[in-house]
Amino acid sequence: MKRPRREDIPGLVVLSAPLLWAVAFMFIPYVIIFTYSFWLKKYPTFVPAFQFGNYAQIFADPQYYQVLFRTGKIAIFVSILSLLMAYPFAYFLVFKVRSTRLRALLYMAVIAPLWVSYLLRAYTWKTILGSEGVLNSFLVWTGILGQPTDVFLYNQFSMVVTLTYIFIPFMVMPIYTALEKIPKNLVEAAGDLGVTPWGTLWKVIWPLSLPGVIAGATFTFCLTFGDFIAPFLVGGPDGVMVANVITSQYGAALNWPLGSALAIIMLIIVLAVIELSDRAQRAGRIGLG
Amino acid sequence: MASPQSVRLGRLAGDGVFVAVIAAILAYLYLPIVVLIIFSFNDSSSLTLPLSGFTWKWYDKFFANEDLITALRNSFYVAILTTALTLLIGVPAAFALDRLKFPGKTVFRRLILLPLVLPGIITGISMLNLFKFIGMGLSLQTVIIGQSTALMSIVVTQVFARLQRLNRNLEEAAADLGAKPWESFFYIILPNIRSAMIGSALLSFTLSFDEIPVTFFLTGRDNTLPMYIWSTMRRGITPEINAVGTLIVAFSLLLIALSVWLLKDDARS
Amino acid sequence: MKPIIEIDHVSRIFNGKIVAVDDVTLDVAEGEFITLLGPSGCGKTTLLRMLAGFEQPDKGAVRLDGHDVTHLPPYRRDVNMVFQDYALFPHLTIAKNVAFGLERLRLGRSEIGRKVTDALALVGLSDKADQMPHQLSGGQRQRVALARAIVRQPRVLLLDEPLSALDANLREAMQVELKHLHSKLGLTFVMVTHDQTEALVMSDRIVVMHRGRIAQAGTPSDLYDRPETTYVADFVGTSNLIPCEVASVTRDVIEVDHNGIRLRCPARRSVATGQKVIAGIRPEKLRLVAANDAADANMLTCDVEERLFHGNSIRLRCRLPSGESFLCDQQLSAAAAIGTVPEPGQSIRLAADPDSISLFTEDDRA
Repeated sequence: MKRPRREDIPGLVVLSAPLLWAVAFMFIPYVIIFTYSFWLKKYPTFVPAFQFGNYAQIFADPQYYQVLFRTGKIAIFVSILSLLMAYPFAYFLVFKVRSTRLRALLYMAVIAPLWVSYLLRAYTWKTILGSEGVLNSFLVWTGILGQPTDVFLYNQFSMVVTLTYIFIPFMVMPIYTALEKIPKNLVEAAGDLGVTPWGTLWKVIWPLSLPGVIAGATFTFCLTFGDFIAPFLVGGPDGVMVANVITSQYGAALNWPLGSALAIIMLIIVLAVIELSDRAQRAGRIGLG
Repeated sequence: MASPQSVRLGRLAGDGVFVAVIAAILAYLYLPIVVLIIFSFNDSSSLTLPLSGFTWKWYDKFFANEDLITALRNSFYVAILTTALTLLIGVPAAFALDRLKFPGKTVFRRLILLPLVLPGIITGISMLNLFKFIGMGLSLQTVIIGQSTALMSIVVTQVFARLQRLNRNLEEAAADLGAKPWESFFYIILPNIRSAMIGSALLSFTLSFDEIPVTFFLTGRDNTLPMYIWSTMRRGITPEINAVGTLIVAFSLLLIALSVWLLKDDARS
Repeated sequence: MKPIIEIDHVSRIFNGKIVAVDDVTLDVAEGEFITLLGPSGCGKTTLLRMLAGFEQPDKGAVRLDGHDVTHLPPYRRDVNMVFQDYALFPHLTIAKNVAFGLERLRLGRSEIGRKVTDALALVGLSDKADQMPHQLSGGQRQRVALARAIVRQPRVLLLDEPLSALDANLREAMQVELKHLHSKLGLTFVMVTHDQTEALVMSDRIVVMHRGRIAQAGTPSDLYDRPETTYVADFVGTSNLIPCEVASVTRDVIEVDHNGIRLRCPARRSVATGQKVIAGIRPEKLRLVAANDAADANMLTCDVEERLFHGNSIRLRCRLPSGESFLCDQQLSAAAAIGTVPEPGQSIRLAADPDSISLFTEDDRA
């Protein structure tokens, strides 16, 4: 279609709407936040300026860069743990379950929790892990513990448990998809050539499923990195993550410039991870078609 | 070489381990939900074992709670409009990505898809800055705009994937038989992307209902349900929340069933 | 009589580099069954799509019934196409598929119903009206595509490799069916195919295309018996191509020489003595003769290298003393049983029918 004809014009108008939306609500906001990150906090709010003070503060003040490290650490932990649980699940579904109905049912069973409120699912861990919660009362009731302990809640352990719980379904989905795409005859060929099931898993299945693993891990890492709900509910003082700091800067502290600078840092980190992951996925993508 | 018997035993044991692992993971996934449901009927203000008697009172309290009901209504309002917007903007966006060549297309694609992997807080803050910049006050409308921006990528990816799989010849055949472009779109393309549109719309609706990070920064005076729950959580745990949660679980199951039923015909083609 | 389709010096170049159609001029008479024949990449499909309106020529014009339709969109042309993969609308029943084009004409509901019923009856699928495309076999889907295209009674029906997806037996049956449909409806058919048997069986006229240009256009027997280039000679049917030198030219006869073998044929073109030419002989135009028959022109002595069984014929791959290899087909009839056909290693003598020998000069090498 070289020349736009008269009848095509309404179509082009319609197609321009998403472009305008993207510019207005996706591009300009990022520009604004970038601009704000250079502004100055001046009592009671903040004023336009061009200074790197906010960024300097982040890198100089341990209060801020430690939070960044902690957030990264937790995000990595959560990604690894959810991978450790999601991979066997997906593997089992794809390679061990024969009946397609059962497989679909189990898959839905893993995905279904995603449709239930995130807030409430995180909140229930608070009730489960608390000193008056389900876990403690169970342990006391069975006699394993003498009295309730508060070691389960309000620390990094509880955050990792909660976040891993949230992200297992997100991990299962891309890994399941990647495993499904592996032609069954590759596995059979490996067996035919005398490779043990473990060997097949390690040498054939794992490498071919890697793009799915990377996709899931990236997704988990990025969203965990930016989460502020789990820290708020089950985090406690040493479980503060970057997103909480940003939230407080936008809240009581009224230091939007600092908040914006932190957000930009978070944005850069997340974009870098996404870019690395894209490259890794492309490099690992072997044509299975 | 191991004997066939020991190999079979080994395999059985391996499978047994597998089943145990799967069961453990599913238990891990459903434990909180089960706890939620059980305690919503538990006749006690505290969330400890052992259980007290069965009661409906938390559900009664919920229905009597004016603020909660209003928040629920707001959530519906926001979810419906957000879903509508994501479809109205997202479907043309998918078409633009599928068919048009234009300068800045890669940037456009990245921008649209970014909110999918980006933590909601960044989308929320960036839009908050925008509204402050242009002097627009926060309200349910700003929440709708923010959520639409965040959730649009769901519609775009689903519809785009479906469009890519669509046979180009169908549109040529339609044109050959006398259909003008809009007729071709309406009678041929639209029916064939129906499943992608419905699926992504349902997902969009569900996620909007439960949306927190973007909503958190863009809420004005009126609360959505998650915002209301969030504010009550700050004040301490109340068992009504379990009741709300259980109802949300039931509602979500309903939506899942609905989507499966609506899409069952399309799964075949 | 004015042709119904005029293709006037049409060219189509992709990305400024790939010349798909190179200055093609062609007229199609009304009611003709014309076939564009050639291998993939020769431009035949692009040309067809320009008739349909899915491609626009970069140069030249396309006229339909005298009207310039070069830049007219497909939905404004009185032309309908049967697609190679049928392109049936998967979400509509067979009846609704066929009715689609009629609905665009804003006809009355009962009239549409009547026409759909007639079209389905014509292709023998009346009982499938309420089924969905995925429930039909490939051959049935093809007939639906046909019904859908003819129900609007277009001036021209375009067919894009209509039989390529069918298996061999079905293909033969459909070839005949399409031919019958053509004579029954009286529409102009323009078909694209790479299968020369199909073209020979079905067409009134064949246009052989090669690298975006027309190599030769003519009736099936024109193309078969009087190919104008070596390309056409070997594409339509098979042809042995033997390099020779013109030995003598008279008013009626040309004699050429290949390493001592003399070939004589009627003088149908002007060549000079000593000119390098290529003699084309079809494998089935060679006759086995006894070894002691008088040696004369148009006799080839050779060794059999291989024997290939083709069911109703045997193909012999032979080699001349000069090293040149060529093919000879021997029909197996009631008289000539397989026992009488030469074995590999045997030396045989073949007589070529002079009238069937084609001569190609250097310019005719496509």
